[in-house]
Amino acid sequence: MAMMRRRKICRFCENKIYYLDYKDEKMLRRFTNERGKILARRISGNCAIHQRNLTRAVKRARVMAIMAFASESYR
Amino acid sequence: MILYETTFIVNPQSEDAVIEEKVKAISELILSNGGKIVREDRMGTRRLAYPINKLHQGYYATFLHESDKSVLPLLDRHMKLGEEYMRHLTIRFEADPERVYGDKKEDYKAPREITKRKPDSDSKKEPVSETPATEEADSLSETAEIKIVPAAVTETADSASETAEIKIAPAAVTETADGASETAEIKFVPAAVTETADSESETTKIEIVSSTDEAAVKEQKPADEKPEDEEL
Repeated sequence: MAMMRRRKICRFCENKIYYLDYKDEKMLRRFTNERGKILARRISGNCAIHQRNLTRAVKRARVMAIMAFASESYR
Repeated sequence: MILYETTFIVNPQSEDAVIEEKVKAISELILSNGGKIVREDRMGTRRLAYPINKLHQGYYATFLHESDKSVLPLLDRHMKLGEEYMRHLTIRFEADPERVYGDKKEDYKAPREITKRKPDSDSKKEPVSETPATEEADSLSETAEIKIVPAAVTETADSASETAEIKIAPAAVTETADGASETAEIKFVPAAVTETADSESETTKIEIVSSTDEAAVKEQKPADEKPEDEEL
């Protein structure tokens, strides 16, 4: 059972989303951990294109104080 | 002409008129340089993810505009000099605006819960009797007014399943628990226990009905039953 790990499908590809808005905090939150770090592809299951777009979006959001660079307790 | 998206944060502590003026200034700057505003979006005052200049809130406004690239340095300069602007960012907008802003906003599905699968597969072997039983106990507590009783019931059911030599027994116990949850009558419970001990179950039945304080007593009772089970 444990060996049968099904391949994750990129959720953005699945939903046919091509542009990731950096102002969409709710969406970006799902792909960062509590500390505000971007989740790795192997965890999020994103494809390369979308992971790149996501990374860009998160970094833009950080500049605009929509996302945190680091979680509050570690700042 | 290229589609750009300019977002900026205005100091929210300044007066509303000032904020309005600062937002207007940007749109005028765009328009006066031959740009066209496609969309204006104001997120309004919202909490910043981290303090900027010791401020914890900011007034967000966004302009989606078609402009010549010569406007961008002007915008940048204007917002750098204006003290009310806390942050600004202009990006080349490469998506369909309708899909980002409008009603056609792209629907994002929540990620599947990956962790869910593991405990399920594990629980199939051993604690099946525990997890559903507790859930049913919850449903019981919702339907029936007596809360502690079902909890005690599950405890007895568990203890019975532990003592029972045959592993199929817990499944039977949970089924009876289902029946109990549907009818919300406690009398069904002993039926499960009858597999182990008939006479004892009758006594436990009365105790369950009587009051909630005797939950502790009920816990002791199954302990008393255990040795008898071994004898059986």
